[in-house]
Amino acid sequence: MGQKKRILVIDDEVNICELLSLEFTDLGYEVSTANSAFNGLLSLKKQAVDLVILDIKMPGMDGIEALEKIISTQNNLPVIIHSAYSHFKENYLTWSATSYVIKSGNLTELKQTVQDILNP
Amino acid sequence: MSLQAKNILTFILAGGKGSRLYPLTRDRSKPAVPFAARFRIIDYVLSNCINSGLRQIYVLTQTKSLSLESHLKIGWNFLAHELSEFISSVPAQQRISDKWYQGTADAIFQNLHLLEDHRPDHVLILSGDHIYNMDYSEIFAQHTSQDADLTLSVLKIKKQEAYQFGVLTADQDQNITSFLEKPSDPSLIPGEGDDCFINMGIYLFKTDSLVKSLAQDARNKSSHDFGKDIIPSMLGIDKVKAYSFVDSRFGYYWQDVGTIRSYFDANMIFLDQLEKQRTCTPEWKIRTMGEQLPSAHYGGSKGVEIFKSSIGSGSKLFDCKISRSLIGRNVCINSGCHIENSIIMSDCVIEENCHIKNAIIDTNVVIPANQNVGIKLSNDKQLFFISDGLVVVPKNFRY
Repeated sequence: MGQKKRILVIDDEVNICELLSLEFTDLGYEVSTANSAFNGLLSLKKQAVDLVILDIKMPGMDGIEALEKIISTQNNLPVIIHSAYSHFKENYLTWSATSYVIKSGNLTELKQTVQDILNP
Repeated sequence: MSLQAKNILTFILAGGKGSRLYPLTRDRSKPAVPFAARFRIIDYVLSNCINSGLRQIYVLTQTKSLSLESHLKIGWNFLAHELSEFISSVPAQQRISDKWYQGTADAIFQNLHLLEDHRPDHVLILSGDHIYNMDYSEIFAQHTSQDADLTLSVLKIKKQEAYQFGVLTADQDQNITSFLEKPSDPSLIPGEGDDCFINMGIYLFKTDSLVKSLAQDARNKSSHDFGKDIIPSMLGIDKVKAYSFVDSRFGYYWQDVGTIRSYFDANMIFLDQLEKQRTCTPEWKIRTMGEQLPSAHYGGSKGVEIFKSSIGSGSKLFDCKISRSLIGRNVCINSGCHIENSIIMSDCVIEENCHIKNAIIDTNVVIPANQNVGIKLSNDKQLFFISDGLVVVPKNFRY
């Protein structure tokens, strides 16, 4: 069996971090979480991951700025924007994200998107 | 048609080092190099913008930008900020990373927040180091009527000169069908002999199409360059159209002043165009920084002989002969001097009995009495840079 693919979830809502951690661990991924963009970027410096799930609205540095910084250092790292808001889709600064999934109680779309990117 | 009411954001790429223009670029970037002993190279593209009605202009600077920044601040700070008009210089800020601009496309990508702030319908991207007149409303009219994602201005030149540019082919409906940056064997225009279409570095994008391409390119291992990466990646996917510059209002002249020789020739062509009244005309003015100086003065006991030359205001000429030369502002040329086929930039002093030929004298140089420049190249080469038989005396030089 190959090495588990690693996912980093960056979201200020602890419940979302926990939920995604449980769900994606169940799917066979290794999941780490960060509850702020700063911590997420620090985590990326320490440990390489295969994909980032990134919230937009976070206190301090938001997900848009974090996305810019991620691309500037690891331009081929897939990033899924995972936001409760759809209007950030119009923001040009989000267009370099690999995908944009609107938060919902049903994680089917997010799971499918992760699957499509990591196991095409 | 003035573009004033259109929602267009303009970027002028002005970070060019101009290494091949050394020593003119020793202390300044290429767009800041003086031109026609009066203007700076960037004045052409900025004048085109203003004359076309463009009023929201960012000038992206990078290396050796002090001279350009002060030129923009002093000479181009006349738009009405309260009407959202501006010409603003944007230095490479390393806003999101510690890298300088990696290529022309990266320069725009690193400033994507400006597009988000303005939300323009179209983005015009221009190079700050080309000499030409162009009414951008003409390319805009074609771009919008064809609903193109990208329209780029193209020039027809001979195949033997085309290898140093981006070379493209287009079909009868102006769709660009191929694009290669600096090809060893440039593609010809069918039925046009040995003519090729080259890219002039004038890009008009639909904003969404630009951002989509830049975002994709940022994720690729590429040189992040419009010519090498962005345009080829859009072919066959987006509507990429060619705009024929030669058919436009001022389509008779465009020059990339990349080398000392081409720079010098462009200056001399400026003199020819002045004579033919094809440049600096009332309907298409070239603007620049303007210090208030008295008119040029011609004095001495024998008089001054001038043939096909241009003399800047504030200059004083005494008993000398000037032929086919450009003399800048506040230059003093003393008696017994003969200046031929040369460019003498502003604030220079040429003392008595000097003979200057085939030379470019940069600003604030003093040539002492009885000194020759460009007459015996073997002597000159001990002190100066010589390119293609042209002697270049660097800025602030003193013997």
